[in-house]
Amino acid sequence: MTEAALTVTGLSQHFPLEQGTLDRLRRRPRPVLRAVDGVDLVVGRGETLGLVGESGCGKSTLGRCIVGLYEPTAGEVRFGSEVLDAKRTREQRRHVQMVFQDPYSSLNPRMTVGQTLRELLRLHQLVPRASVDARCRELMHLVGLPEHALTSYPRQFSGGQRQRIGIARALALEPQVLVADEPVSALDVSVQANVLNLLSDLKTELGLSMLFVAHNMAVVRQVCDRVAVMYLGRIVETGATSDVFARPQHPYTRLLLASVPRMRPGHVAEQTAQGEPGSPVNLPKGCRFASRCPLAFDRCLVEDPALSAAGGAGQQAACHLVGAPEAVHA
Amino acid sequence: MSTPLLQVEDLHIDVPTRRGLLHAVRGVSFQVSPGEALGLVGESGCGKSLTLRAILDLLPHPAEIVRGRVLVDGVDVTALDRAARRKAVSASISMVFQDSMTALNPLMRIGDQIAEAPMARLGYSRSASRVRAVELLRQVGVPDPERRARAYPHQLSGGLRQRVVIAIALSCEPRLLLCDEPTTALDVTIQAQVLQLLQGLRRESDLAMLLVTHDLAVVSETCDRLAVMYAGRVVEDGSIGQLVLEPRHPYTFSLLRSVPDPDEVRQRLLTIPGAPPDLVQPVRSCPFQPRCIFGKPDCGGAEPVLFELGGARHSACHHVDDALSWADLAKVHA
Repeated sequence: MTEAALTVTGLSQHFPLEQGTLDRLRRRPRPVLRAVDGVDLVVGRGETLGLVGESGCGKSTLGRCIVGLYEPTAGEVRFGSEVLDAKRTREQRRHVQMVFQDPYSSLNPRMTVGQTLRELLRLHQLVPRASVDARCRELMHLVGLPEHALTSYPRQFSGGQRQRIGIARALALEPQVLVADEPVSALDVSVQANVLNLLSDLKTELGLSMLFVAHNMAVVRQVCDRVAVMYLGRIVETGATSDVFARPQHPYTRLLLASVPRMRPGHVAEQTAQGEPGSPVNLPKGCRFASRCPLAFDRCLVEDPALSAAGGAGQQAACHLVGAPEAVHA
Repeated sequence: MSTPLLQVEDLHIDVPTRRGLLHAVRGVSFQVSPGEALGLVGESGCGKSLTLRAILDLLPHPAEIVRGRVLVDGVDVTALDRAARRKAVSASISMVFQDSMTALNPLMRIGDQIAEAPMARLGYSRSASRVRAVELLRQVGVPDPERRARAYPHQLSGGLRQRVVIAIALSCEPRLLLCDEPTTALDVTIQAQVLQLLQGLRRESDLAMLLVTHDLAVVSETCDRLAVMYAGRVVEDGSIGQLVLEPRHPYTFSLLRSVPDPDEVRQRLLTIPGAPPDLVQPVRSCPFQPRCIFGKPDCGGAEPVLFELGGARHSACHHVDDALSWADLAKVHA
């Protein structure tokens, strides 16, 4: 693999929960929600890594830790060789920028697009004062919006245009790494295609590295070079997108892929999941997926599997059956 | 052919806004036969949800039906007064709402919520309706139904709540389920479970379904026929197989090519430039022309109506018979 742009090692984000008075008096330990629980990730330079999973698996929390919106309980985030804490210098904040899911609430409604961008550019002193306006216009071109958009307020734009503004805002700081948290899930399909194409173009044009957080498997397949599948705070499988989609090794990945509705007349999803994801508060002792897994056996209930090599080059899965003959599937 | 269970004829819905009258639905017609599943697809603002709500007389204020009829078992329910209409419609049709958190009463145990309708409409006694509620919960695959019947909505997960909403819809033994984005709020593995449940119910009880969604893949897995809506009208309808494999309206074509496929990577996703027309303004020509992939200049004439294509299929495109153009399109965007 190429040089790493972003490295995440042993990252955990635990949120202590409220506790009843009685439990406190009984000195019960305070319950903890383990949103992210020991995650290692590498985003290569110029690479798009997709982070997929269902709601509550911790994928958004992980994205937020990476941009420094949360202070992780444990682990570290490195940009190149530089360690990024949650408290970052202006310079460090520039490197890793975020595109938020909801373009409606992530822009200041009382500032025009131009004001939003100018504020950023002046504060970070990225361009000389005199050329701030020129840079703003350039950013509009980059995301495919007309220059006069600069004098309008966010409410005057459609959802897709607002997401373009969100992307322009992130790009204003000339980041090396972009964390996009469900950037298209609030958009209509035709608009979604627009934004996905824009992100692919920007990636080639600017050589951006990207962490693409999404729940939509088809979208991930379209834009990502590699994927990491998350389940209850852990990465359960990772590898090149084509490998993971063609030969998923972890039963959860297989389930996810089988559940995606297909646009083929007559196609029927062959396998549906039993049950629903467990709670990140009361995590089981063994494999976190065991309660829903059709292949679970005794060992899964007592021993938590670690990621190990499986399938294609660089592909890894956290399952006791990986490499075992029983794991061979149709 | 038997009488259609539901017929919508030339439905027009206007919504007064500050900018003027918004013609949100402009002459929509379709029908659903017993046991059939029809998908109604389109982007936000195309009028699909309003159409669905108009059937049940659930239009949000101040939207209203200004023209057209809704027939249930051949009876024009729009001509009836409110009470009679509710009665006639609810006897055979019920609705599954999108957002199970707001569709359910947060202060009522779910068993009681399911029992309400059988008591009020089918004359069940209190105890009989409780038994029925547990039975329905079991039917929609809620584990441990006796215990869950005593739970409040917030104690259940999203997937289970959606099952409860379906149980309520089934409680009066409808023959047609109207589903408004029933799985949009759900995770993909849970979505698969709910879709499978709906399919199972259709097979077992010959239930007809009208599914409103923006997700073409969901429709193609669950429905027999599809109607694509654009700017308040149906622009193409036909069987799922025909429309997905061989669309004959450029909007359907573009929609199909703009969604990523989980099984293969497209070079580039097809995008639809521009935005849908503002329906406060009168529509004088093809409303899709400015965004059309054909980009033909000679579409300026009257707004195209649905042309019969044979095989119960229709398309509202001036160039529907232009086989050469369609062949080209399919080649370029294979």
